[in-house]
Formats: sequence, structure tokens, C-alpha cells
Amino acid sequence: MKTDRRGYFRQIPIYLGKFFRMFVYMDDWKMVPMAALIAGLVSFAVGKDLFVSMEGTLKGSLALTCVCIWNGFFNSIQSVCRERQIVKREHRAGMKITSYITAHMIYQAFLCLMQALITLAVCRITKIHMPSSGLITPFFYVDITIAFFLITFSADMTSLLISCMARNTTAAMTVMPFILIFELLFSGGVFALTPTTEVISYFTIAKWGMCAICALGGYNSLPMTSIWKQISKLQDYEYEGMQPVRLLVETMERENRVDEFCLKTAASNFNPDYVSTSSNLAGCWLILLIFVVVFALLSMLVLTGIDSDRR
Amino acid sequence: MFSAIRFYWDILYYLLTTIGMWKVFGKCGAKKWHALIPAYRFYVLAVCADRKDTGRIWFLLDIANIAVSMAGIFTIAILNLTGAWSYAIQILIFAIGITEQLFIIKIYASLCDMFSRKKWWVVFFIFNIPVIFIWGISGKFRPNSTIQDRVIRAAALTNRNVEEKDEGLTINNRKRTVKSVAGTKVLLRDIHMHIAPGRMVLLLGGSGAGKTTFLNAVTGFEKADASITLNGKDVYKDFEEMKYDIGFVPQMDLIRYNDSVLMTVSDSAKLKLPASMRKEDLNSKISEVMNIFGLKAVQNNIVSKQSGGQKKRISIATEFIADPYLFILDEPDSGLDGVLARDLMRRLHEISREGRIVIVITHSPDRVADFFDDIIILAKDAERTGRLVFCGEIEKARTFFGTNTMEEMVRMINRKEEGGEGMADELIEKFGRENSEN
Repeated sequence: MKTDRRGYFRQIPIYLGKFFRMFVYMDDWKMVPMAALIAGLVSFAVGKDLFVSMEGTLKGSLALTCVCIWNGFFNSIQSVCRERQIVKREHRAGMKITSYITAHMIYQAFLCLMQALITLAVCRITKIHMPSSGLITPFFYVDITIAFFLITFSADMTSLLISCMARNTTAAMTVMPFILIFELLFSGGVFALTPTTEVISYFTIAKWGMCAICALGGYNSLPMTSIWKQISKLQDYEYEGMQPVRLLVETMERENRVDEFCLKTAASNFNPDYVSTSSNLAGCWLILLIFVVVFALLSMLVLTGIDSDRR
Repeated sequence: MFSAIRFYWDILYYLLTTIGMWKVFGKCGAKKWHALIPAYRFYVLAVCADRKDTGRIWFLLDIANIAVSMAGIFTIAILNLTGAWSYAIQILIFAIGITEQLFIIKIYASLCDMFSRKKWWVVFFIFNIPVIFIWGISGKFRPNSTIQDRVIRAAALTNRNVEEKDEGLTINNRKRTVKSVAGTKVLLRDIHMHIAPGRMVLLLGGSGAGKTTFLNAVTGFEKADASITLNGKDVYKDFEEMKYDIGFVPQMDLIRYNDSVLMTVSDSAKLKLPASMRKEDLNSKISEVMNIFGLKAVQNNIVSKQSGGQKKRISIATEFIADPYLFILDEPDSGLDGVLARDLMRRLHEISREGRIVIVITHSPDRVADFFDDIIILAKDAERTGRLVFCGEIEKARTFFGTNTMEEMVRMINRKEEGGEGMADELIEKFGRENSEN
């Protein structure tokens, strides 16, 4: 009878209960208002042009993706390594690593969902212009919540893996900035990528997160305003005593063809990654979900070796 | 002109340093001619300073530095690889060089300790002022111990395995090592004993003697080159089968501070007790254990808000709830006053009378000595490896050490620099000889 102990499914509620109690007793609840603060800051900085122009959408979606990644990373970066000795002790006393990680996944999913909803609420409060319909569901808000959730959750699982690998919180917190920089560099949103680095970007959450948000925001159908703004700034340019740029700007404005110009320039910057189709969005979600599953499985695998930890 | 002065200074520096090292090695019991071997002599200097591990790392870094420099010369000068490669090589050499300097500073600082000198001497060493020459030729500079003083004496006498028995705990711990870049370090060696059921055992030893390491090895928490059997079953091989028979309360409270007291004990019960146990029985067991350890009054409080003593009792309760046959506690009375400590030990004594084995580490043994049946004493030998000094009944220990107090026993085995009498090696040898004669 001594070996008749609780199995995988019956251990999950034990740990889930522990994590939710810790959410209340510990500082984990602070992550929720923090998410609102970060989202507010980003909305203030890039919200005006989000889903309005091509460039604004690119910048804004990168910023929102970074908010989600940031939230996800901080949710679980210390969650396992801070109690590594306890986990080791409990594992030797019968705890199942799979149950422990599954409980973490459920608890973290709850946190991520709250953060996704808060981020969205902040975007709404700061009056960011939102498209009217979604791509997979009829509602834009549902689609964008799922996108935010999946980005946050996959980042959360990435940091859970780091937390399972790190022997202490210092090691985990040292690695985290490198992963953040990696995500930012290879997202394709800030720096132009070569064919080689493009391949690396497929392994970043940021790339697929941006694709999902840009696809939802109708990136390819938005006008590109930056070129027109640049041309407008060059109106005083003189050529053989004339100001040809001013002439062009004035003519375009007089004939109400500025919007047409902006759309034309946008068409020449068409990005197939951000195409607004349900299949593209579903693909992005699926890849983010794969990240979640792979990182969770790797976390289980890595943590199984905890018994070999030495002081 | 400047380069000529530099040239002569370099020669003078090398000569003075070599002579200094030659003499220092002589004082420390190392081979003097090792002072003539570049690089390696710094490793020997580390051995003289009783910092073999640091010396080994420094030596490896020096070899790495030479290898990277050679690779750099080969690829840059011969293969004409420049640009990023050249920068990478330079950065690598720089990084290794800095690390090397840090390790050499550690070696010099330890040398100052060994020669009972102030640490500011290190400044002279790192700025290449050949003070080692003065250390070598002056009779005022003597090391605290020579390499020969630190060689272990009783290895052959204490490596006899104890016969495994069907009842109780048999420990044949041959060696527990840790491997690192610095090499393999032996933490424990030759600890052999048998503990019968129903015994309450005190585990004593100075700081760093390897008590926790020993207990971790016994429970399989950190495996050693050992054979540990509990009631005839191998703890390492059959651990899955018998893990609920072993309760281990570590020195550090391994409980989540941000949970309630009741839920901490209750969750532990759910994990460790049979799943088929009826809910009423489970709750009654939890209630019973909470009562035994006086936690009922604080059951709804958060663990982090409890005193050190209460946290320790929660820690013990989470292990005790599984009814372990072998119950090991690492400093359960730390932070407890005399009355509470005696109360706790009395409870543990009662547990042992139920036919279980209870092993306890404590740093205040005399106030609770009457509760124990046997005593195990560990000490660091000359190579700082944890060794068995004594194992047996308390009364026999008093005769063996010629003293009645446990604290006096610890003082006898502690090293001189720790305020002890430095008799560990002598007593290890004595115990080994007495055992081999029996």
C-alpha cells in the first residue's frame, strides 16, 4: 500500500491550489497592475498611429508584442528557480514533475489571460483606433485577446523553461535580457533581416506575435504616410530656380490625391507575412501554441533531472 | 635607454622571484626545483598556500591563454584572418587574462593567510615587486603548516565495510566527491556503521565537517560512492519503493513561506500518504500531527509570519506526517530556546521508541544529550575531507574522548585555526585502530 500515492491528475489540484494561494499571499498579484502600467505607457507612446498607418501599425504592434513578451517573461522567470530546493525535495518525496509543470501552466495561463485582457482594456481606454471585425471570429476584440494571450503565454513558457534550467534566480535574471534582445532583434519589426537571419526570426515569439497583430490590424490595407511626410518636408528644395516638390505637394493636396498617394506607396510595401486572412492569423496562433507546448515539454524534461543537482 | 632598464629589471625580477619561490617552496615542503618551471610554479605556490583547487584553475587558464594566443598568431599571421576573428581572439585573451589575474590574487591572498601576514602584501605581488624574495630568505616568514602536515594519516585504518543487516540502517560510505574545473574534491570518505532500529542518534561535528553532506548521501538526496541499506533494502537502488520510509528535515526550511500552515502540512500529507486513505482519516492524521508539533493554534496563519522555531516545526511536521521509519533532522533545534529544544527532542525520542531510527544534527548537544542513545562524530582531516572520528554509544564516546561534554569533544576535533585542539587526525587514527582490532 505504501506505493499507492496520488498520480499525475490528482497532484495537479494540490499544486494549483498552492500557486493560487501564493498569488494572494505573495507579490504575484502585483503583475496585474504592472501590466496595466506598461500597456498604458506603450499606448501613450505609439497608440496614436496604431491601426491607422502602416508605419504606426508596425511600430505599435512591435511595442504591444514586447509588452506581452515582457509580461510573460516576468510572470514565471523566477517561479521555479526560487523554489528549486523545495522542488527537489518534493520530487524525491513523490511529487510528479509533470503535475507540477502542468499546474504551473494552468496558473500561468490564468495570469496571462488577465494580462491580455488588461492590455486590451488599456488600449481601449487610451482610445486606440481598433478595426471593427476579426479574422477568425466576427469580433476583433476576441481575436486580439487571443493573440495577446498566446504571445504572453508563449513568452511565459519560454521563461518557465529558463527558470527550470537556472539553478538560482540570479542566473535566470541574467539570461532573461539576452532572450529579450534576441526577440527584439529578430522580430523583423525594427531591423531589416537578411535571408539567414530571417530563418532565425521564425524561432522568435515576437515575429509571430507581430504577424498576428499586423494581420488583425489590416496592415497591408493601411496607407503609408512616412514618404508623403518626407516629401512635404522637402518643399523648399530648389532646382534651377524652381521648387518642383512644392509644386507636386500643392497639386496633390489641391486635387485630394494625398490618400491615393499614401495607399500607392503602401501597396509597394506589401508584406505577405502580415496579410489579413484567417489562415494567416490561424497559422500565427498555431505557431505560438506550438511554442507553448514545446517549451512546456522541455521544462518538464529539464526539471526531471533535478535530482542530480548538487550543492 | 628605457627598454634597456626594462630588460635588466625583467632579468632581476625573474631571478629574485625564482630564488624567493625556491626558498618558500622549501619552507612549505614542496620540491624546490619546481620554482624553475614557468607557470607551473604558481600552481605549486597555490599548493603551498593550501589552495590547490585555485592553483589548478589558474594553471588551466594560463594554458588556455597560451593556446588562444598561439591560435591567434597562427590564424592572423599565417592564414591572414583579420577583422572579426582578430577582435574575437583579442577579446578572448583579454577575458582570460583578467580571470587569471583574479585567481592569482586569490592565491597571493591565501599565501598571506598561510604565512600569517596582512593582505596588503598582495599589492606588492600584483605590481610585480619581488617581495617573495624577502619571504623566502627571511626567517621571520614561516608558513602555518607544510604540505606534509596536511597529508592524511589514517586512510588505511578506516576503510573497512560494515556487514549489512536485515534490520536497521547500514552505511558503507566509501567516498563522496564533487567534480569541478578545479578537479575532484573528496568531501567524505570511509564512513561505515550500522544503526539498530529504535535508536536515537546524535550526529556531531564542527562546521564544514560534512554532516549535512553525510546525511544527504544517506538519504540519496546527493548520492555518494556508497552502499546504504535500510532493513536490507538498498536506499539508492530501491529508492522509489522506500522513499516514504525516509523522512529528512533539512537544515534550511524547505517549505513555501507564502502558504498557510495548515495547507502546507495538508498538501504534504496528500502527496505522501496513500491515495486510498479515507478523507476523514487523512484529516484526522493531519490534525494529530498538527497537535503533536503544536501548530493547531497557528494553522490558518501564513508560514512567513511564523517564528524560526515554528517554521522548523512546520518543516518537521511535513516530513513526519508520512510516518517515516528513518527520520533524519538537520539542526531541528536551531533558533529554539532550551525549553523548546528539550521539548522537541523529547518528542523525537518518543518517536524513536516506536522502533524507528531518528538521527539528529544539533549544535547545542549538551542540553539534550540525555535523549540520545548513540553518537556519530565527523571531523575534517588534514585534507579537509569529512571523516568518521567516532560512532557508538554515548558513554563509550565519553571514555574515548576522555570528557563528559559533547562540546568539548567538538572542540578537540576542530582545527586549531577554528579555535579547536586540532586532534581530528589523531582521533580518526585511534578510532580506526580500535575498530580494526575489534
